[in-house]
Amino acid sequence: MIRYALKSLFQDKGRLFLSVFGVAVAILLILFMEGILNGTAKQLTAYIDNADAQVFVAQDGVKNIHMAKSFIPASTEKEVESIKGVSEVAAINYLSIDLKLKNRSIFAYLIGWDQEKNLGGPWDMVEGKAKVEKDEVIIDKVVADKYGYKLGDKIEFLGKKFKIAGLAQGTFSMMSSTFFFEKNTFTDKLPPGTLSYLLVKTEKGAKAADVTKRINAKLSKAHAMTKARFSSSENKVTKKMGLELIYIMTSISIAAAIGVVALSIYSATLEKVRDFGILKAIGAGKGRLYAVVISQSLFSTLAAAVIGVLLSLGLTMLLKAVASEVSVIITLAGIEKALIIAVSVGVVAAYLPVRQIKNVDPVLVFKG
Amino acid sequence: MIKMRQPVLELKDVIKTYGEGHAAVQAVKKTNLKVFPEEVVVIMGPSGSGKTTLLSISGCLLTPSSGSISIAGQNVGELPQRKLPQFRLAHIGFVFQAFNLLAPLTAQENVEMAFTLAGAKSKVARQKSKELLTELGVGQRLSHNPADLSGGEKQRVAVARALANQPELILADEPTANLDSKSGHLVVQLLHDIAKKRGSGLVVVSHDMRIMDIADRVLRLEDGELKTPEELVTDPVCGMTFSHEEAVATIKYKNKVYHFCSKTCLEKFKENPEQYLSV
Repeated sequence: MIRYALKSLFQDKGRLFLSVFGVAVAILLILFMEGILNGTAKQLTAYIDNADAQVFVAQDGVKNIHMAKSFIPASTEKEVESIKGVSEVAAINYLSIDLKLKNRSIFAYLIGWDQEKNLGGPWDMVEGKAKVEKDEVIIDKVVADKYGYKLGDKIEFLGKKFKIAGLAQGTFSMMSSTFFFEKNTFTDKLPPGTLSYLLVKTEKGAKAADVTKRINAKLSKAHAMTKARFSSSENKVTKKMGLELIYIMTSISIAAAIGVVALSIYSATLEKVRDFGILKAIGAGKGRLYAVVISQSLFSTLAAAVIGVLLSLGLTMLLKAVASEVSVIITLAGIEKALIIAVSVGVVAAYLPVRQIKNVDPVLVFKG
Repeated sequence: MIKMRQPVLELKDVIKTYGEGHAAVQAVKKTNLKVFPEEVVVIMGPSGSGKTTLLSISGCLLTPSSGSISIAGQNVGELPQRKLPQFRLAHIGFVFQAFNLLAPLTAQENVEMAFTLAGAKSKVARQKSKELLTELGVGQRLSHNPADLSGGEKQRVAVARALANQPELILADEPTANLDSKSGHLVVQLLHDIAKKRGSGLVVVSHDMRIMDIADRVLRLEDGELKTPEELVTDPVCGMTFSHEEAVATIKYKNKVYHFCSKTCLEKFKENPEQYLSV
């Protein structure tokens, strides 16, 4: 029966190609959208992930950096330094602004970090200085290339001009870019006597979770989180922002895929009504007949899923080569999800043809 | 000692009515029929006489409005609907006018299908289908798709498929209708030989007069009623069979009476009687 199902499916190669291609595009869309979200989330947590700190301290209730504001008393830095297991503490001041670069808008994170410490600054320099003076800035190389800046050029931030002293990489995302300044550059924009976040390096052998607990036990207006938790929280916030869009796109894609496969298998079944009548007449039970359309539907969708996954991976590699600033991360979980969606689409799409077969009258075999 | 033979097909008081009330049409009127092993029964009749309905009922594809059907000793009415496909598979072989082979499959795969549906392992099914097709003279066409076969070859493949599970009953619907004279004759002879050799009961529904040659019994179905052959006559011009009463004209030629279904046939016959008698 499966042989009949597949041979019958391949009889009209044009229709098979169209249905497989249609579903493959839907799978590509689902995977790619999620990949972009994963990539963007990864880019947005890059600052946390690459900082040489094991614990982060933010204002109580603030669990991320992206789109957040955190103000903690400046005295907190000293308090944390004295806690057991803490090796080094560095404060950063953080602002997020809508920056105009050559008449184009970019969402910018401005981070002022302590030049005396090795915590909180850019982690991967491409060109220029790794530390800055008061009127200097380090920008991402992608931003420099995209907007036509080079070392020594000046950019205006919040009414002040800054000379580009260095170019970093890994600090740009599709949604924003990070700019690094000397720690006190924008303290006038923060409430007096506050700083934004503390980056805490633990002593060798000390567990981050234990240090976090001790910090939290001591602080009242600030809250400590391990790096993993802070990063995960940031990731969740980012994904939550894109999740609705992903749900909508996924739903549309699934609906389109079901439509394409259902229509294709339905029309194929319609064309083969006589075959199903013959099979019924010569003794094929309903289960076997249903297996024909279900296997056709599943084959179409699984083939489409494989093609969709390969297309997604290919496109990801292509994007990496031509537009490195766009990060797309296709995960194994995403691929598994695509396959599950494909199987589900296959089963749902077979519903109409199955109903159609159920009603085929085997007496039609006697018609000439 | 007299050995009682059990019929492979027995229709008892079978009636099939389509529609209800004033719109009701009785396609098959109270019909009784027994077909025995090795027996070849040919049912003839004009279009709309109920041949297909009778064949569908005999093949368990259609449920009669009343009456009972027994196939190979099993009262079909006692079987649940879900068991009918398996029953058909085991006991009935179908040969159709339009061959009804599955176009995407090769000749061998078409026959294999009947074996595998009955539960045969794929290797066994392949071997048996090859043997069967070879026996029926199409062994050299195993890997050809139906589209690449001649009409006669297609019908042989269809016969092989019908025989796959050694059915007690073979039902053939106009098996020669789409074949040329030579192929038609070969197929008819093949069906006859199979029935005799394998002990199957064969019911052939046809318009084709040549089939009468192989029949043990010829029946005529008319307006849903089966009639005995004694009442039937054949128009020598158009080949149509009908009852005496229906004859539009009769003529005596060389001491024999000929019956005609229409005046046109009569006129044609008068023009050149030998032309029709030599066929």
